[in-house]
Amino acid sequence: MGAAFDATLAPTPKVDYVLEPGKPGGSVSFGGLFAFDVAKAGRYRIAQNGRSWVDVIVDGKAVASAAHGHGPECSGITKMVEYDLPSGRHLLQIAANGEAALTVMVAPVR
Amino acid sequence: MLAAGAGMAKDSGGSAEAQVALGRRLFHDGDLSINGTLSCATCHDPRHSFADGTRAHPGAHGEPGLRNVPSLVNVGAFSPLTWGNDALTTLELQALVPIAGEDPVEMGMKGQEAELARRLSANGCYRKLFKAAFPKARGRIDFATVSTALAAFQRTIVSHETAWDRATSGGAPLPEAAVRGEAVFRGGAGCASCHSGREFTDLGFHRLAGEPASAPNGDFGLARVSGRSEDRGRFRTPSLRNVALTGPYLHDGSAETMADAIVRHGIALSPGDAADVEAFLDALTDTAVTTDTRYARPGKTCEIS
Ligand code: HEC
Ligand code: HEC
Repeated sequence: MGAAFDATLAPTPKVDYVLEPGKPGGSVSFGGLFAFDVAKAGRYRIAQNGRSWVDVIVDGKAVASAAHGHGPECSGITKMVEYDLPSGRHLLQIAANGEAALTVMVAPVR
Repeated sequence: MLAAGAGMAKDSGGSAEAQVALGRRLFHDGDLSINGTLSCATCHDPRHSFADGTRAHPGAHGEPGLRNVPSLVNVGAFSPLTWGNDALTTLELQALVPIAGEDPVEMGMKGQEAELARRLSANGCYRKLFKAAFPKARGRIDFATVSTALAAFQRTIVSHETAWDRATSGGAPLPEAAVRGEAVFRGGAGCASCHSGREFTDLGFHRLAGEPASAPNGDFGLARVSGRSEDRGRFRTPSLRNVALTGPYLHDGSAETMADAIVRHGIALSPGDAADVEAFLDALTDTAVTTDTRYARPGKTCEIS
Protein backbone atom coordinates (compact mmCIF):
# COMPACT_ATOMS: atom_id res chain seq x y z
CA MET A 1 0.00 0.00 0.00
CA GLY A 2 1.34 3.39 -0.98
CA ALA A 3 4.20 1.90 -3.00
CA ALA A 4 4.24 1.34 -6.73
CA PHE A 5 4.40 -2.25 -7.90
CA ASP A 6 5.28 -3.61 -11.30
CA ALA A 7 2.48 -5.85 -12.44
CA THR A 8 2.97 -8.51 -15.07
CA LEU A 9 -0.27 -8.91 -16.96
CA ALA A 10 -1.50 -11.92 -18.91
CA PRO A 11 -2.96 -12.02 -22.43
CA THR A 12 -6.65 -11.10 -22.14
CA PRO A 13 -8.00 -14.49 -23.34
CA LYS A 14 -6.13 -16.16 -20.43
CA VAL A 15 -7.52 -13.87 -17.72
CA ASP A 16 -10.46 -15.12 -15.66
CA TYR A 17 -12.12 -11.86 -14.76
CA VAL A 18 -14.36 -11.86 -11.68
CA LEU A 19 -16.68 -9.40 -13.38
CA GLU A 20 -16.92 -8.47 -17.04
CA PRO A 21 -14.57 -5.43 -17.14
CA GLY A 22 -16.11 -2.07 -18.05
CA LYS A 23 -13.80 -2.19 -21.05
CA PRO A 24 -12.55 -5.70 -21.85
CA GLY A 25 -9.90 -5.01 -24.53
CA GLY A 26 -9.21 -7.18 -27.56
CA SER A 27 -7.58 -10.62 -27.60
CA VAL A 28 -4.16 -9.01 -28.14
CA SER A 29 -4.47 -6.79 -25.04
CA PHE A 30 -3.40 -7.67 -21.48
CA GLY A 31 -5.08 -7.84 -18.09
CA GLY A 32 -4.89 -9.30 -14.61
CA LEU A 33 -6.34 -9.58 -11.11
CA PHE A 34 -4.59 -8.47 -7.92
CA ALA A 35 -5.68 -8.55 -4.29
CA PHE A 36 -4.87 -5.62 -2.01
CA ASP A 37 -5.58 -4.83 1.64
CA VAL A 38 -7.20 -1.69 2.94
CA ALA A 39 -6.47 -1.24 6.65
CA LYS A 40 -8.55 1.87 7.13
CA ALA A 41 -11.73 2.78 5.23
CA GLY A 42 -11.45 5.95 3.16
CA ARG A 43 -10.65 7.33 -0.26
CA TYR A 44 -7.93 5.57 -2.22
CA ARG A 45 -6.24 6.50 -5.47
CA ILE A 46 -5.14 3.96 -8.05
CA ALA A 47 -2.49 5.41 -10.32
CA GLN A 48 -0.83 3.75 -13.31
CA ASN A 49 1.67 4.49 -16.05
CA GLY A 50 -0.65 3.03 -18.74
CA ARG A 51 -4.21 3.54 -19.91
CA SER A 52 -5.70 0.27 -18.75
CA TRP A 53 -9.26 -0.08 -17.54
CA VAL A 54 -9.44 -0.49 -13.76
CA ASP A 55 -12.24 -2.08 -11.75
CA VAL A 56 -12.09 -2.31 -7.96
CA ILE A 57 -14.19 -5.20 -6.70
CA VAL A 58 -15.54 -5.27 -3.17
CA ASP A 59 -17.69 -8.24 -2.14
CA GLY A 60 -18.10 -9.30 -5.74
CA LYS A 61 -19.31 -5.91 -6.96
CA ALA A 62 -17.50 -3.20 -8.91
CA VAL A 63 -17.17 0.02 -6.90
CA ALA A 64 -18.16 3.20 -8.74
CA SER A 65 -15.20 5.57 -9.08
CA ALA A 66 -15.33 8.78 -7.05
CA ALA A 67 -12.97 10.86 -9.22
CA HIS A 68 -10.48 10.51 -12.03
CA GLY A 69 -7.72 12.47 -13.63
CA HIS A 70 -4.25 12.54 -15.12
CA GLY A 71 -1.03 12.56 -13.19
CA PRO A 72 1.17 15.63 -13.00
CA GLU A 73 3.03 16.40 -16.25
CA CYS A 74 6.19 14.25 -16.62
CA SER A 75 5.39 12.15 -13.53
CA GLY A 76 4.99 9.04 -15.70
CA ILE A 77 1.50 8.63 -14.25
CA THR A 78 -0.97 8.67 -17.10
CA LYS A 79 -4.20 7.76 -15.33
CA MET A 80 -5.57 8.00 -11.80
CA VAL A 81 -8.91 6.85 -10.48
CA GLU A 82 -10.18 7.31 -6.92
CA TYR A 83 -12.53 5.09 -4.95
CA ASP A 84 -14.18 5.22 -1.54
CA LEU A 85 -13.35 1.86 -0.02
CA PRO A 86 -14.23 -0.04 3.17
CA SER A 87 -11.46 -1.83 5.03
CA GLY A 88 -10.68 -5.39 4.03
CA ARG A 89 -9.12 -7.36 1.20
CA HIS A 90 -10.34 -6.21 -2.19
CA LEU A 91 -9.61 -7.05 -5.81
CA LEU A 92 -8.03 -4.84 -8.42
CA GLN A 93 -9.03 -5.92 -11.90
CA ILE A 94 -6.98 -4.54 -14.79
CA ALA A 95 -8.11 -4.86 -18.39
CA ALA A 96 -7.37 -3.63 -21.89
CA ASN A 97 -3.73 -2.70 -21.32
CA GLY A 98 -1.53 -2.40 -24.39
CA GLU A 99 1.48 -4.20 -22.85
CA ALA A 100 2.17 -6.98 -20.36
CA ALA A 101 4.08 -4.61 -18.05
CA LEU A 102 2.23 -2.03 -16.00
CA THR A 103 3.24 -0.04 -12.94
CA VAL A 104 0.39 0.46 -10.51
CA MET A 105 0.13 2.27 -7.20
CA VAL A 106 -2.63 2.15 -4.60
CA ALA A 107 -2.41 4.98 -2.07
CA PRO A 108 -4.71 6.69 0.42
CA VAL A 109 -5.91 10.17 -0.59
CA ARG A 110 -5.31 12.63 2.22
CA MET B 1 -7.18 8.82 -50.96
CA LEU B 2 -8.47 5.49 -49.71
CA ALA B 3 -8.51 2.48 -52.02
CA ALA B 4 -11.29 2.65 -54.57
CA GLY B 5 -13.54 -0.25 -53.88
CA ALA B 6 -13.58 0.34 -50.14
CA GLY B 7 -17.25 0.59 -49.41
CA MET B 8 -17.98 -1.53 -52.46
CA ALA B 9 -18.13 -4.82 -50.63
CA LYS B 10 -21.90 -4.87 -51.07
CA ASP B 11 -22.73 -8.53 -51.11
CA SER B 12 -26.23 -8.87 -52.51
CA GLY B 13 -26.62 -12.41 -51.21
CA GLY B 14 -25.58 -11.33 -47.73
CA SER B 15 -28.03 -11.01 -44.91
CA ALA B 16 -28.48 -7.46 -43.72
CA GLU B 17 -29.22 -8.81 -40.27
CA ALA B 18 -25.92 -10.70 -40.14
CA GLN B 19 -24.05 -7.59 -41.30
CA VAL B 20 -25.57 -5.56 -38.47
CA ALA B 21 -24.83 -8.24 -35.84
CA LEU B 22 -21.27 -8.52 -37.14
CA GLY B 23 -20.87 -4.75 -37.26
CA ARG B 24 -21.99 -4.44 -33.67
CA ARG B 25 -19.43 -7.02 -32.52
CA LEU B 26 -16.69 -5.30 -34.47
CA PHE B 27 -17.71 -1.88 -33.12
CA HIS B 28 -17.11 -3.10 -29.56
CA ASP B 29 -13.95 -5.12 -30.26
CA GLY B 30 -10.55 -3.87 -29.12
CA ASP B 31 -8.88 -6.15 -31.69
CA LEU B 32 -9.57 -3.47 -34.29
CA SER B 33 -6.69 -1.54 -32.73
CA ILE B 34 -3.00 -2.41 -32.93
CA ASN B 35 -2.57 -3.27 -29.23
CA GLY B 36 -6.13 -4.31 -28.43
CA THR B 37 -6.82 -1.24 -26.29
CA LEU B 38 -9.29 0.75 -28.40
CA SER B 39 -12.58 -0.26 -29.91
CA CYS B 40 -14.83 2.13 -31.81
CA ALA B 41 -17.00 2.13 -28.66
CA THR B 42 -14.10 3.33 -26.47
CA CYS B 43 -14.43 6.72 -28.14
CA HIS B 44 -18.04 6.38 -29.34
CA ASP B 45 -19.53 5.03 -26.11
CA PRO B 46 -23.25 4.26 -26.50
CA ARG B 47 -23.74 5.30 -22.86
CA HIS B 48 -22.46 8.80 -23.74
CA SER B 49 -24.65 9.01 -26.84
CA PHE B 50 -21.72 7.57 -28.83
CA ALA B 51 -19.29 10.30 -27.76
CA ASP B 52 -16.84 10.09 -24.82
CA GLY B 53 -17.01 13.19 -22.63
CA THR B 54 -13.37 14.21 -23.22
CA ARG B 55 -11.87 17.01 -25.32
CA ALA B 56 -9.98 14.72 -27.65
CA HIS B 57 -9.37 11.02 -27.14
CA PRO B 58 -5.76 9.75 -27.48
CA GLY B 59 -4.88 7.01 -29.97
CA ALA B 60 -3.91 3.42 -29.17
CA HIS B 61 -0.38 4.30 -28.01
CA GLY B 62 -1.41 7.56 -26.41
CA GLU B 63 -0.93 9.63 -29.58
CA PRO B 64 -2.63 12.97 -28.86
CA GLY B 65 -6.11 13.28 -30.34
CA LEU B 66 -6.84 16.26 -32.56
CA ARG B 67 -10.61 16.58 -32.63
CA ASN B 68 -13.56 16.09 -30.31
CA VAL B 69 -15.42 12.78 -30.70
CA PRO B 70 -18.81 13.39 -32.30
CA SER B 71 -21.96 11.48 -31.38
CA LEU B 72 -23.05 8.87 -33.93
CA VAL B 73 -26.82 9.14 -33.49
CA ASN B 74 -28.53 9.23 -36.89
CA VAL B 75 -25.10 9.17 -38.54
CA GLY B 76 -26.59 7.14 -41.41
CA ALA B 77 -28.30 10.36 -42.52
CA PHE B 78 -25.02 12.31 -42.77
CA SER B 79 -22.73 12.90 -45.72
CA PRO B 80 -20.05 14.11 -45.81
CA LEU B 81 -18.73 12.80 -42.50
CA THR B 82 -16.44 14.16 -39.78
CA TRP B 83 -15.74 17.76 -38.80
CA GLY B 84 -13.76 18.65 -41.84
CA ASN B 85 -13.55 16.31 -44.84
CA ASP B 86 -15.93 16.76 -47.77
CA ALA B 87 -14.50 13.66 -49.51
CA LEU B 88 -15.59 11.23 -46.77
CA THR B 89 -19.01 10.62 -48.20
CA THR B 90 -19.87 7.15 -46.87
CA LEU B 91 -19.67 5.33 -43.55
CA GLU B 92 -17.76 2.56 -45.35
CA LEU B 93 -15.00 4.99 -46.34
CA GLN B 94 -15.02 6.74 -42.97
CA ALA B 95 -14.50 3.54 -40.92
CA LEU B 96 -11.03 3.12 -42.41
CA VAL B 97 -9.94 6.49 -41.04
CA PRO B 98 -9.89 5.49 -37.34
CA ILE B 99 -8.73 1.94 -38.18
CA ALA B 100 -5.82 2.75 -40.51
CA GLY B 101 -5.50 6.54 -40.48
CA GLU B 102 -2.30 8.34 -39.47
CA ASP B 103 -3.45 11.94 -39.10
CA PRO B 104 -3.82 11.42 -36.20
CA VAL B 105 -3.14 7.75 -35.42
CA GLU B 106 -6.20 6.34 -33.68
CA MET B 107 -6.42 2.53 -33.86
CA GLY B 108 -3.04 2.23 -35.58
CA MET B 109 -3.83 -0.62 -38.02
CA LYS B 110 -2.29 0.82 -41.17
CA GLY B 111 -0.75 -2.06 -43.14
CA GLN B 112 -2.22 -4.55 -40.66
CA GLU B 113 -5.08 -5.93 -42.76
CA ALA B 114 -3.69 -9.48 -42.62
CA GLU B 115 -3.13 -9.23 -38.87
CA LEU B 116 -6.73 -8.07 -38.40
CA ALA B 117 -7.95 -11.06 -40.44
CA ARG B 118 -5.74 -13.36 -38.36
CA ARG B 119 -7.17 -12.07 -35.07
CA LEU B 120 -10.79 -12.15 -36.14
CA SER B 121 -10.64 -15.52 -37.90
CA ALA B 122 -9.28 -17.11 -34.71
CA ASN B 123 -12.79 -16.61 -33.33
CA GLY B 124 -15.44 -19.10 -34.49
CA CYS B 125 -18.29 -16.66 -34.04
CA TYR B 126 -16.63 -14.16 -36.38
CA ARG B 127 -16.02 -16.88 -38.99
CA LYS B 128 -19.74 -17.72 -38.97
CA LEU B 129 -20.87 -14.10 -38.98
CA PHE B 130 -18.58 -13.11 -41.86
CA LYS B 131 -19.86 -16.10 -43.87
CA ALA B 132 -23.50 -15.19 -43.24
CA ALA B 133 -22.91 -11.49 -43.89
CA PHE B 134 -20.74 -11.90 -47.00
CA PRO B 135 -21.58 -15.21 -48.68
CA LYS B 136 -20.37 -14.15 -52.14
CA ALA B 137 -16.99 -13.18 -50.74
CA ARG B 138 -17.08 -16.53 -48.88
CA GLY B 139 -16.80 -14.78 -45.57
CA ARG B 140 -13.56 -13.04 -46.49
CA ILE B 141 -12.19 -10.91 -43.64
CA ASP B 142 -10.54 -7.73 -44.85
CA PHE B 143 -10.84 -3.96 -44.47
CA ALA B 144 -13.66 -3.83 -47.04
CA THR B 145 -15.92 -6.39 -45.34
CA VAL B 146 -15.10 -5.03 -41.87
CA SER B 147 -15.98 -1.47 -42.88
CA THR B 148 -19.15 -2.61 -44.66
CA ALA B 149 -20.37 -4.41 -41.53
CA LEU B 150 -19.46 -1.44 -39.31
CA ALA B 151 -21.43 0.84 -41.63
CA ALA B 152 -24.46 -1.49 -41.53
CA PHE B 153 -24.44 -1.38 -37.74
CA GLN B 154 -23.98 2.39 -37.57
CA ARG B 155 -27.00 2.90 -39.86
CA THR B 156 -29.13 1.27 -37.15
CA ILE B 157 -28.18 3.96 -34.59
CA VAL B 158 -31.36 5.97 -34.92
CA SER B 159 -32.65 8.42 -32.34
CA HIS B 160 -35.84 10.41 -32.73
CA GLU B 161 -37.39 9.87 -29.29
CA THR B 162 -37.03 13.33 -27.85
CA ALA B 163 -39.50 15.67 -26.18
CA TRP B 164 -39.20 17.87 -29.28
CA ASP B 165 -40.05 14.98 -31.65
CA ARG B 166 -43.04 14.07 -29.49
CA ALA B 167 -44.25 17.68 -29.40
CA THR B 168 -43.94 18.11 -33.17
CA SER B 169 -45.89 14.93 -33.80
CA GLY B 170 -48.83 16.00 -31.69
CA GLY B 171 -47.67 14.75 -28.27
CA ALA B 172 -47.15 16.69 -25.05
CA PRO B 173 -46.11 20.28 -25.76
CA LEU B 174 -42.63 21.47 -24.79
CA PRO B 175 -42.10 23.50 -21.60
CA GLU B 176 -42.63 27.22 -22.26
CA ALA B 177 -38.96 28.14 -22.04
CA ALA B 178 -38.17 25.56 -24.74
CA VAL B 179 -41.00 26.87 -26.93
CA ARG B 180 -39.59 30.40 -26.61
CA GLY B 181 -36.09 29.02 -27.24
CA GLU B 182 -37.20 27.32 -30.45
CA ALA B 183 -38.66 30.61 -31.67
CA VAL B 184 -35.34 32.38 -31.01
CA PHE B 185 -33.44 29.48 -32.64
CA ARG B 186 -35.56 29.62 -35.81
CA GLY B 187 -36.08 33.37 -35.78
CA GLY B 188 -33.81 36.26 -34.92
CA ALA B 189 -30.77 34.28 -33.83
CA GLY B 190 -30.62 32.46 -37.18
CA CYS B 191 -29.38 29.20 -35.68
CA ALA B 192 -31.63 27.16 -37.98
CA SER B 193 -29.94 28.53 -41.08
CA CYS B 194 -27.06 26.14 -40.34
CA HIS B 195 -28.58 23.78 -37.74
CA SER B 196 -31.41 23.00 -40.15
CA GLY B 197 -33.81 20.17 -40.87
CA ARG B 198 -34.72 17.14 -38.81
CA GLU B 199 -31.11 16.52 -37.77
CA PHE B 200 -30.32 20.17 -37.06
CA THR B 201 -27.46 20.33 -39.52
CA ASP B 202 -27.07 21.57 -43.10
CA LEU B 203 -23.99 19.29 -43.39
CA GLY B 204 -22.19 22.35 -44.73
CA PHE B 205 -18.84 23.83 -43.65
CA HIS B 206 -18.76 27.16 -41.84
CA ARG B 207 -16.37 29.28 -39.83
CA LEU B 208 -18.03 30.73 -36.75
CA ALA B 209 -18.01 34.53 -36.74
CA GLY B 210 -15.98 34.69 -33.54
CA GLU B 211 -13.40 32.05 -34.44
CA PRO B 212 -9.92 32.45 -35.95
CA ALA B 213 -8.94 30.87 -39.29
CA SER B 214 -6.11 28.99 -37.59
CA ALA B 215 -7.06 27.35 -34.34
CA PRO B 216 -4.60 27.16 -31.41
CA ASN B 217 -4.16 23.41 -32.02
CA GLY B 218 -3.12 24.01 -35.64
CA ASP B 219 -6.30 22.49 -37.08
CA PHE B 220 -7.22 24.31 -40.29
CA GLY B 221 -10.57 22.55 -40.63
CA LEU B 222 -11.76 21.84 -44.15
CA ALA B 223 -8.54 23.43 -45.50
CA ARG B 224 -6.61 20.40 -44.17
CA VAL B 225 -8.03 18.37 -47.05
CA SER B 226 -8.99 21.03 -49.59
CA GLY B 227 -5.79 23.06 -49.30
CA ARG B 228 -7.80 26.22 -50.01
CA SER B 229 -7.07 29.14 -47.73
CA GLU B 230 -10.72 30.22 -47.70
CA ASP B 231 -11.57 26.88 -46.07
CA ARG B 232 -9.41 27.60 -43.03
CA GLY B 233 -11.40 27.43 -39.83
CA ARG B 234 -14.44 25.95 -41.56
CA PHE B 235 -15.98 22.93 -39.87
CA ARG B 236 -19.07 20.89 -40.66
CA THR B 237 -22.14 22.00 -38.74
CA PRO B 238 -22.70 19.40 -36.01
CA SER B 239 -26.16 17.93 -35.43
CA LEU B 240 -27.66 19.19 -32.18
CA ARG B 241 -29.47 15.96 -31.30
CA ASN B 242 -28.40 14.81 -27.84
CA VAL B 243 -26.13 17.83 -27.61
CA ALA B 244 -26.86 18.05 -23.86
CA LEU B 245 -25.16 14.63 -23.45
CA THR B 246 -22.05 15.15 -25.57
CA GLY B 247 -19.95 17.88 -23.99
CA PRO B 248 -17.34 19.23 -24.23
CA TYR B 249 -18.13 20.98 -27.50
CA LEU B 250 -16.81 22.29 -30.81
CA HIS B 251 -14.33 20.57 -33.11
CA ASP B 252 -11.54 20.71 -30.54
CA GLY B 253 -13.65 20.19 -27.42
CA SER B 254 -12.61 23.65 -26.23
CA ALA B 255 -16.10 24.71 -25.09
CA GLU B 256 -16.94 23.10 -21.75
CA THR B 257 -20.67 23.88 -21.79
CA MET B 258 -23.43 24.43 -24.33
CA ALA B 259 -23.50 28.07 -23.22
CA ASP B 260 -19.76 28.42 -24.00
CA ALA B 261 -20.29 26.80 -27.41
CA ILE B 262 -23.11 29.20 -28.25
CA VAL B 263 -21.13 32.27 -27.13
CA ARG B 264 -18.27 31.20 -29.42
CA HIS B 265 -20.59 31.68 -32.44
CA GLY B 266 -20.32 35.45 -32.01
CA ILE B 267 -24.12 35.76 -32.20
CA ALA B 268 -25.42 38.22 -29.61
CA LEU B 269 -28.21 36.76 -27.46
CA SER B 270 -29.81 38.36 -24.39
CA PRO B 271 -29.29 36.27 -21.23
CA GLY B 272 -32.98 35.36 -21.28
CA ASP B 273 -32.87 34.24 -24.92
CA ALA B 274 -29.69 32.26 -24.28
CA ALA B 275 -31.33 30.40 -21.39
CA ASP B 276 -34.42 29.70 -23.54
CA VAL B 277 -32.29 28.41 -26.42
CA GLU B 278 -30.57 26.05 -23.97
CA ALA B 279 -33.96 24.83 -22.74
CA PHE B 280 -34.84 24.11 -26.38
CA LEU B 281 -31.56 22.23 -26.94
CA ASP B 282 -32.29 20.19 -23.80
CA ALA B 283 -35.56 19.11 -25.43
CA LEU B 284 -33.48 17.43 -28.18
CA THR B 285 -32.26 14.80 -25.68
CA ASP B 286 -33.02 11.10 -26.19
CA THR B 287 -31.69 9.06 -23.28
CA ALA B 288 -33.33 5.84 -24.55
CA VAL B 289 -30.64 5.55 -27.22
CA THR B 290 -27.94 5.50 -24.50
CA THR B 291 -29.40 2.43 -22.80
CA ASP B 292 -30.77 0.60 -25.85
CA THR B 293 -29.49 -2.98 -25.64
CA ARG B 294 -29.26 -3.22 -29.45
CA TYR B 295 -26.22 -0.94 -29.33
CA ALA B 296 -24.55 -2.29 -26.18
CA ARG B 297 -21.53 -4.57 -26.24
CA PRO B 298 -22.78 -8.03 -27.26
CA GLY B 299 -22.30 -10.92 -24.84
CA LYS B 300 -20.16 -14.00 -25.44
CA THR B 301 -23.04 -15.95 -26.99
CA CYS B 302 -22.74 -15.83 -30.76
CA GLU B 303 -25.69 -14.50 -32.77
CA ILE B 304 -25.34 -17.50 -35.10
CA SER B 305 -25.16 -21.08 -33.87
C1 HEC C 1 -9.52 7.40 -30.61
C2 HEC C 1 -10.93 7.71 -30.64
C3 HEC C 1 -11.77 7.17 -31.79
C4 HEC C 1 -11.92 5.86 -32.18
C5 HEC C 1 -11.23 4.63 -31.61
C6 HEC C 1 -12.89 5.87 -33.23
N1 HEC C 1 -13.32 7.14 -33.48
FE1 HEC C 1 -14.76 7.70 -34.80
N2 HEC C 1 -14.30 9.63 -34.47
C7 HEC C 1 -13.37 10.09 -33.58
C8 HEC C 1 -13.12 11.50 -33.80
C9 HEC C 1 -12.15 12.38 -33.03
C10 HEC C 1 -13.94 11.87 -34.90
C11 HEC C 1 -13.96 13.23 -35.60
C12 HEC C 1 -12.82 13.17 -36.58
C13 HEC C 1 -12.69 14.34 -37.48
O1 HEC C 1 -13.60 15.15 -37.56
O2 HEC C 1 -11.65 14.48 -38.16
C14 HEC C 1 -14.68 10.67 -35.27
C15 HEC C 1 -15.64 10.65 -36.29
C16 HEC C 1 -16.36 9.51 -36.63
C17 HEC C 1 -17.47 9.50 -37.57
C18 HEC C 1 -18.06 10.71 -38.27
C19 HEC C 1 -19.32 11.16 -37.56
C20 HEC C 1 -19.97 12.35 -38.23
O3 HEC C 1 -20.90 12.92 -37.64
O4 HEC C 1 -19.56 12.74 -39.31
C21 HEC C 1 -17.87 8.20 -37.67
C22 HEC C 1 -19.00 7.66 -38.53
C23 HEC C 1 -17.00 7.41 -36.81
N3 HEC C 1 -16.12 8.25 -36.18
C24 HEC C 1 -17.06 6.03 -36.70
C25 HEC C 1 -16.07 5.28 -36.05
C26 HEC C 1 -15.92 3.84 -36.19
C27 HEC C 1 -16.80 2.93 -37.01
C28 HEC C 1 -14.86 3.49 -35.41
C29 HEC C 1 -14.23 2.11 -35.24
C30 HEC C 1 -13.71 1.51 -36.46
C31 HEC C 1 -14.35 4.70 -34.79
N4 HEC C 1 -15.09 5.76 -35.23
C32 HEC C 1 -13.30 4.73 -33.90
C33 HEC C 1 -12.74 9.35 -32.60
C34 HEC C 1 -12.64 7.97 -32.63
C1 HEC D 1 -23.08 29.83 -39.74
C2 HEC D 1 -23.67 28.56 -39.37
C3 HEC D 1 -24.11 28.41 -37.92
C4 HEC D 1 -25.04 29.15 -37.23
C5 HEC D 1 -25.83 30.32 -37.72
C6 HEC D 1 -25.11 28.56 -35.92
N1 HEC D 1 -24.26 27.50 -35.82
FE1 HEC D 1 -23.95 26.37 -34.18
N2 HEC D 1 -22.38 25.49 -35.09
C7 HEC D 1 -21.99 25.71 -36.39
C8 HEC D 1 -20.71 25.08 -36.63
C9 HEC D 1 -19.92 25.10 -37.93
C10 HEC D 1 -20.33 24.49 -35.40
C11 HEC D 1 -19.01 23.78 -35.11
C12 HEC D 1 -17.95 24.86 -35.01
C13 HEC D 1 -16.60 24.41 -34.52
O1 HEC D 1 -16.44 23.31 -34.03
O2 HEC D 1 -15.65 25.21 -34.62
C14 HEC D 1 -21.43 24.74 -34.47
C15 HEC D 1 -21.48 24.24 -33.16
C16 HEC D 1 -22.56 24.43 -32.32
C17 HEC D 1 -22.70 23.80 -31.02
C18 HEC D 1 -21.74 22.78 -30.42
C19 HEC D 1 -22.17 21.40 -30.84
C20 HEC D 1 -21.14 20.34 -30.63
O3 HEC D 1 -21.52 19.16 -30.68
O4 HEC D 1 -19.95 20.62 -30.44
C21 HEC D 1 -23.87 24.26 -30.48
C22 HEC D 1 -24.45 23.88 -29.13
C23 HEC D 1 -24.45 25.16 -31.42
N3 HEC D 1 -23.63 25.23 -32.53
C24 HEC D 1 -25.62 25.87 -31.24
C25 HEC D 1 -26.00 26.93 -32.04
C26 HEC D 1 -27.02 27.90 -31.67
C27 HEC D 1 -27.85 27.85 -30.41
C28 HEC D 1 -27.07 28.80 -32.69
C29 HEC D 1 -27.89 30.09 -32.73
C30 HEC D 1 -27.63 31.00 -31.65
C31 HEC D 1 -26.11 28.38 -33.69
N4 HEC D 1 -25.47 27.26 -33.25
C32 HEC D 1 -25.92 29.02 -34.90
C33 HEC D 1 -22.67 26.43 -37.33
C34 HEC D 1 -23.63 27.39 -37.01
